[in-house]
This record gives sequence, C-alpha cells and structure tokens, in this order.
Amino acid sequence: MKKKFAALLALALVASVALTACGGGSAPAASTPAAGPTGTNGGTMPGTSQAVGDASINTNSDYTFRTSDSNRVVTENGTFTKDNVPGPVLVTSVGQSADVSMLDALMKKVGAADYTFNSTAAADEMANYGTIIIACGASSKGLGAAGISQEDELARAQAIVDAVKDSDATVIVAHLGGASRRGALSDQFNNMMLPCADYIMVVEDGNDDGLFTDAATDNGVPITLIYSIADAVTPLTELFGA
Amino acid sequence: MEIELIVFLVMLGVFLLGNFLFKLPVSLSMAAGAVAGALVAGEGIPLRHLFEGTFVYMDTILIISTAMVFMTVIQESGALEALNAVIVSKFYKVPAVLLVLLMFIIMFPGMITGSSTAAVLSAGAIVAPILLQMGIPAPQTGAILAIGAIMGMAAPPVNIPAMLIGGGVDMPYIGFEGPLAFLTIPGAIFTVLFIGLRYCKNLDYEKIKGGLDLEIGKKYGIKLYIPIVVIVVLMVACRMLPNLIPNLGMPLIFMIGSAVGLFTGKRFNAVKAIREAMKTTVPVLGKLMGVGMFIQIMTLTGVRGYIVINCFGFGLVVLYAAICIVMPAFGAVSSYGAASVLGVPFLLALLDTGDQVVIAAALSFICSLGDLMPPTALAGNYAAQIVGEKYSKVLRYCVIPFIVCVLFGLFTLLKSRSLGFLT
Amino acid sequence: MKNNQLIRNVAVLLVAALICVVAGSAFWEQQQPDVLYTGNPNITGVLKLSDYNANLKGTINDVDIYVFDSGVPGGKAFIYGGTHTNEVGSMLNAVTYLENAKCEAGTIYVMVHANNSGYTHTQPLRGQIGKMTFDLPDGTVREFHVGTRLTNPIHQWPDPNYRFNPSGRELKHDELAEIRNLNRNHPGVQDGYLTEQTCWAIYNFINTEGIDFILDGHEAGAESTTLVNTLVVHENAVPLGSTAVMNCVINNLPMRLEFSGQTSYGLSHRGLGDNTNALCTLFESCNPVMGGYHEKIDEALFKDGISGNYRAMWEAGLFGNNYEIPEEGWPIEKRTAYHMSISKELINAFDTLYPDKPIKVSGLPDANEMIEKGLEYTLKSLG
Repeated sequence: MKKKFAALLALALVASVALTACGGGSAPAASTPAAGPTGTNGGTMPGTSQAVGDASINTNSDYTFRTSDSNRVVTENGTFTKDNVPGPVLVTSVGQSADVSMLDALMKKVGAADYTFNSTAAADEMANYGTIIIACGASSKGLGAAGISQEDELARAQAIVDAVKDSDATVIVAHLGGASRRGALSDQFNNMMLPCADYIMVVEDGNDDGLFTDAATDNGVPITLIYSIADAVTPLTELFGA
Repeated sequence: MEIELIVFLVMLGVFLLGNFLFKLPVSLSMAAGAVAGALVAGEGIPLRHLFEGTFVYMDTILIISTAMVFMTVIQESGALEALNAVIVSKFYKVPAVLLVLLMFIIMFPGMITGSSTAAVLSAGAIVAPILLQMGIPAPQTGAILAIGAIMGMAAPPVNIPAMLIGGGVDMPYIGFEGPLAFLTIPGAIFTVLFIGLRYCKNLDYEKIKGGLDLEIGKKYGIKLYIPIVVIVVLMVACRMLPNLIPNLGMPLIFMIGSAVGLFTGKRFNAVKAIREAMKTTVPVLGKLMGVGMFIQIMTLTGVRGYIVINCFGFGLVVLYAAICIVMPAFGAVSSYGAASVLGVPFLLALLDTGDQVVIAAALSFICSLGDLMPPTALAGNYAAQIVGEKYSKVLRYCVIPFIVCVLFGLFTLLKSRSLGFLT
Repeated sequence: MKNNQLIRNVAVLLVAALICVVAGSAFWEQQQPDVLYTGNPNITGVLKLSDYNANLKGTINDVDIYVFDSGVPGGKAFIYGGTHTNEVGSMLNAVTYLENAKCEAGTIYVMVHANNSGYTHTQPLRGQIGKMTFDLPDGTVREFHVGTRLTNPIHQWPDPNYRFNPSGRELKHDELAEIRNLNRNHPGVQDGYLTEQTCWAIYNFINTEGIDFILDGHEAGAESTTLVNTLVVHENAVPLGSTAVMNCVINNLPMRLEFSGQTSYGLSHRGLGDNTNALCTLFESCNPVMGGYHEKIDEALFKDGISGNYRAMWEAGLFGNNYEIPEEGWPIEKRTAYHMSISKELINAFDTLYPDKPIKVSGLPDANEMIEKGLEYTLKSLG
C-alpha cells in the first residue's frame, strides 16, 4: 500500500510537470488572467500591454495606446493653454499618494512660480484659487503619513468636488502614478474627481482601460496622455513654465 | 526536454529507486536524489549546499528529539497510564464529547508550536492509549492521531505554512485566526467522529476498566502529573509573559519536563529509556535533513523555479485541480516545502478570485494535509509508531477524511470572497 | 562481530569527519573579510561604528565608515550598503563611492558593509552563491562576498522567543529571526543584541555627526512589485526624495517614490527618520536571484540578472507594469548604476533645496558607461 501510494504520488508529480512542460515550455500563456499582489492602494494590477509597432494594444481590453517611445505626449479633445490656468494655483492631492510630491517636483522643475503646495488642502480653501491641480491616486502609506483615514480622505475629496463643481476655478486632474495607482481604492478617488475636470493629464499606462480618455470624451474636456511621468514636463512647461 | 525537468526527474527517480529498490532509509534516498540532481545539473557534488540544506531544520530536530525523551519519561513514570484512567472514567458516558475533547487535546501542541510532529509526539502519545481502550482499533487510532496533529498544525494561532505563503507576497500574518479555525475545527470534529464514533457508541466501562491502571494514580497522586503541568505552564508562560519569563525554547522546556519526570513517578532506567527514545527518533530526524538537502538542491538547480513557472500556465480549473493534488502530494517531500515552493505562486494566481487571507489560509490548510503523504509523512509515521502499526495500514483510514478536508479547502478557496468576514 | 561493528562505526565517523572538513573549508572561506580598495586620495578619515557604540568593539560589526570631508562646511550625507548582504547592488554602490568619490562641498560618509556579520553566511534553502568575482582589465580579480539578510547566528544566538525593542516592532512567531535583521531594529539598543547594538551605533553616529540625510541601499526580488526601483522616504524627506526621483526619471531611469509606512517599525526610513534629524531614504533595485522563481543559481545569474522565468511572469502581467523585466535582465552594473544615480541625485537635490548647506560630489563614474562596460571597468585593481 505504502509503495503503491508513493509510486502514484511520484507519478502525479511527474505528470503535472511533464504536462505543463509539453504545453508551452517555460513561458506562461499571455492570456493567463492577470493577477498580482496588491499595490499600496489595495487593488490588483491591471493587465500588461504589449508593443505593436509604435502604439500598443492592451491585452485585457480594446484600448489602443496613443503614446509611444517616439511620440511621448498626445493631447486629444481640443487644446488647453496658459490662458486656461488663471492664478493663483494650488497643487493638492486626493488619495495622498506620493504622486503629488512628484507633481510638486515637476512644477519646480519647469520653474512654475507662485503656486501653493498643500497636499491636504481643505475644501473651503478652493475658493481662493483660480486653478486647482489635483493629483489623484490613493496610497495607504501616504494616508498614514498624512495622518488621515481612508474615510476622512474620501469625505475631503467629496467636499472638494462639491466646492469646485459650481465654481469658476479651473480643475486639472493629474493621474501620474500609472497602473499602480489604479485599482479599487484609487479608482474611488479617480471616479469622484474626473467629472469636475476641465483638463486631464494622465500617464497613459494608467489608462489601459480607457477610464480617463472616456471621461474626457464624455465631459468634452481636453486630455493630455503622456508616456512616462517625466514627460509631464512638456505640458506643465507650456502651462506653468517660467 | 528542459534541463530542469530532467534534473527533477533524476532527483525523484534516484530517491524512489534508493528507497524502494535498494531499501535505503528515506533520509539517505533523499540525500542520494539531491546529489544526483546536482550532478546532472552540472554542479558536481556541492558539499556546501548539501550541508546548508541538511541543517535547515535544526530547530525542529532539537524539538523532536527532546519531545521524544519527554514522552518516554512520562510513559515510563506511569503518568500517561494514570491520565488515561482519569479521563476515561470521567467521560465514558458521552463518547462523542469524549472523542471531540480528545481530538482537541491532540491538536493543542500543534496549535501552539505549528508542528504536527510535536502534536503527535506529545498529546498524541497521551491520547492514543485512551482511544485504544475505548475500542477503536489501532490503525483507526493512528489515523485520528495523524489527522488530529495535522489539524493542530494548521489551526490558529501558529500555522507555519500560512506564514510561509503570506511571507512570499509580503502579506502580514494577521487575520488568519478566523479562516484557519473555520477550516480546522470542522475538519477535526468530522475526522474523529467519522473514524471513531462507530466503535464507542456504547462504551462498557466495566470492560474498559480492566485495561486501565487505576492503582498507579492512587499510589503517586497528583505528583505524577507535575512534568506535564511544567511543560504546559512553561510553554504558555513563555508566550504570555515574554518580558518576565526568560527565553527557554521548546527543547529546554521538554528537557526540564523530562528532568522533573524522573522524580515524580515510577523509578526506571533513565539512560536506557532515553537511548531507546533517540533510537526511534533518528530516522525522522534523518528525513528532515534529507528534505532540507532536497529542497536546497531544487532551488540551486532551478527546479523550484521551473515547477512554479509551469504552474502559471494552468487555466483556472486545472489550477484548482493542481492545488488539490500536487500541493498535498508535494508533502511527500515536505509540507513546509510545498507551502514555500507552490503555495506562493498559487496564491499569486488566485489573488483576483477573492479574499487574499482566506485564500492563503485555505492553501496552507491543503498544504498541511501533505504531512500524511508517504514516504516522509512525519505526522503519519509517528502516529503509526505510537499505535504500533505499519503506516500503510493507518493511511488507509486517513483517505476519506483527507479527501473531505481537501474538498472543504477547495470549497473555501472557491467561496473566499463570501468568507471574507472571517478575517 | 562486535569488532566489526566498531570498525564500521569508526569508519562512518571518519568519513563524516572528512566530509565536514571539506565542507567546512567552504564555510571558513565565507568567514574571511572582503579586501576593499582604500587608495582613494579623497578619503579624509576612517571612523568605526565602535566609536559610536563601544559595545561593538572587537565584534565583527565594528565596521569602517569612510569620511570624505571637502573642507567646505555644508551638508552631511551618509550613504551605505550592506544592510542586507545579499543585496549586492547597494554594497557595490558604496564601493564605487569609496573608490572614486571626491567631495567638493560638505561631507559624505560611506559605509560598505553595514551588517558585516551577514556576509559570513548564506541562508539555507536559498541555494545561494557565496561570492561574486570581477576580472579586471589588468588581469587581477576583485572578489566580493555575498551573504544573507540576517546576522550570522554564530555572532548572535539564540533568537529570543519574543522581543519588543524601541523600534516598536513586536518580534514573535515567524518574525523572531528578524532580531538579526539590521533593517528591522532601528534605532536599536545600545547594549542589546549585536544587531540592535549595530543599529544603535548608526543612530548615535547620525546624531553625533549631525548627518543631514541618509541613503540605505537595498535590493528586492522581482515579485516585490511595490518596492523595485522605488525610493522610500520618511515624510520629512519627501521634497528631497521627489526631487531626486524626478531628476532620475527625466534621465530615463524609471524610478518611483513611495512614503515610509507609519507602521514600518524598525526600518531605517521609519526608525531613524522618527528618531533623528536626518532625512531618511531607502532605495531598492531589482535582483531576480532574490525571488523564489529563478533558474539555476550561478554567478552568471547573480551578475547578469537575466531570468527567463521572471521575464515570462512579467510578460504574463503577474507583476503589473510598475517596472520592466527586460530581456537583457537586471545586470549588476545596471543595479549599481541605479543606486549610484539616485544617491548622486539626492546629493544634488539636497544641495539645491538647502542652499545654506551645500554638498557636492564629483569623480563618480558615468552611469551609462558603467552599464555599458560593466563594473570590471570601474572597479579599482588591488594590484
């Protein structure tokens, strides 16, 4: 009995390995459902994209990427210029991811003068600004660092939505964290802010399901897709550069 | 055919040949498999790696050795016999309750230490004579011990496979208590009642009484139980009051218990008893060393990565099938090995399907059942040894509870989203 | 009969002893320290960790800290590797500084082997190599030991069954071995376990010397999707970190910024960030051999970082899109160049953000050249 069982077991092990070895070598099928460990935002990673010529097609949806290594910044749905960004300018966050700090560094890089950086600005401060740049994306570590609970941050985001939707201020929604700032928690913030946007700036990797481009089309607002976060220098220079 | 597959087949082949054809002990067969694998992979005989793998379970080896000494001491001193007599005489009227209580006693050391071997060796050895006297035949008793120990190993608060799986994806060991209790307690109750109840529905105390030594308890009184009390108190106190009780460690606790046991009951030849205890333990220690070597060489030669990467090629249905078959089967090498080699990629592949903690808990539960798999079968072999049977006979009675537990684990995996409230 | 048994037993013991001696030589070799090149004329002093915690005197963790004092008062940076001794990119970055750096303003402190004990052993079941070698153009060879992330139990044993030290991390169950993890016990305990003493020495060094910012170098397995190519910063170091990361990104180094977790107890960015005035940062590069799914382990995998398994898993979308696992892998020169670039950009960013505390570094190799030609061309010959 013991011997038979051991032999059976060995066969099962060998068969399982042999089966997969014949079935596709060491490369798993690209159609394997995407699954990854949770990101800092608590959601799961979206599927990967594969390069097809200059543009590329996402393996999980019909979205066709507009940007590429050779065409790094693409603006659609109209134009957005320096005239659309009256001062004073506020840079803030909803979700408290590190992207807002990167946005701050980018603003400094392009020589933006005279803007206020306050990642936890209260809703009632919105009335003081002509242009509000909101870095969207949630991070549990960021929320912890800011000492804000997820619920309080959602309430703050809702209050900001209420404050800006009827105001004259220009709202720029910036999503700079790419795919890692998508997923359930981040998308709660993304979905709250997108209807308020007068202009959207997104690292295209984070738009592989068309969330941001669809919102731009639905709301009739311009959107700038950028290949990597460093390419935000181009639109930011045009809008806020010295 | 990829070189990794060839290496793996050679390792398994040499291991099986050594064990079955040349009748070598499991430990030496595993060592031979590891050496052959390294040779085929072009590593020569990597002594450093073979050594490193050999000593990876040093802590467990010390615990098992000292636990075995302790068990021998309380057996020889008469404490076990006395304890049996007390428990049976108190609970014989309600056999189902008695069985469930005894099952929880078997599980307890496993819950605390995370080791099925510790459970079998300590509580298992205490409970086994009671089960036998209740009329449960030896193979069935062995099956109850083996599965009970495994349920203890998988039960909260300490479940090492779950820690290994969680550690692989940066998931803290938090919130596992609920899902693990949900998996193990029904599994344990089902097993003990399914196997045992039919034999002891109508316990005839007068009949059993004949097999009990009621005198030894009377002769030495409460003093007999001091070693067991010392062990339990020290084990619990070290965990509950870490800042007051110095760090003793399980081996030292067992040695203290053994030393106390020399003076609390019947006199016996300690040196002879300990020598006998170690003699029966050495093969198991050897197995652990062999397992370490085997996994180390699997990692070194890329076999481990090869197995994992091929798991990702599965569709979801095949994946579930693989979880139910390959993961417990890997227990033939080591259930801890199954958790770290297979548990992590399976968890990665299933993350999208539901609650991560519940999935990890269910995977660890299925992994733990691998401790029944021969030839290593740590829990099983020791359980068989305690009841004086061949493991093959014991294993026969484990099959149905094993299948039920695996299916329950699968059910938990499939329903992990709805079971998220347990975390 | 009895004699035969005795002879057999003695023979078995002798064979076992012989195997022990042969295998032991490999473990003995692992105990020998790396020879570092210290001929850089810009080194202005050498401190020891025992200068900051006398309990370390005579222990393996009484590590050297090399001082590059420009003579121009300014900012003070502390760049170190070897916290986890299998994460070789960070150690080789510190070596690159040691061999090449010139401080033009302020002071730079460099520590190569933060947890020196870790270099003397490898972790069981990992099948790891014990050292890596580089053949230099002049025909000489440089060797660096590869250890593991924990202090060697030879130097710190046994692990307690429970420990709650000032780091705030509660060590119990499967975390007990972390008492030997340098990056889980900051700010340390002056007279605690060896690892805690080492942490305390670093903490006291930072306070005593008035260090302005630190970079603790690390590497992560490719499946650590939230860590690879990420600079983790304490909340006080966010402007410094974001500026440095931004400059790296603009230079086509795909890095990310992440905040230190509030409950990342004992990690350098939390434990030292909370308890000193230094701005604390930690960088992680990608080291495929550290994961669980790599191919056969050999020096090539360690140095070239090419893993078909990881590439396949990345292509299948299992790791998300946070970083790429390219066909050419993550070779050691690229990982070292990433560490060197982020540390250089941190220095530049500090110089820009805090003009009253200038700090400037020169003499470092060009990152692109390092990646292109390999470390063989940047490492100095020991002659």
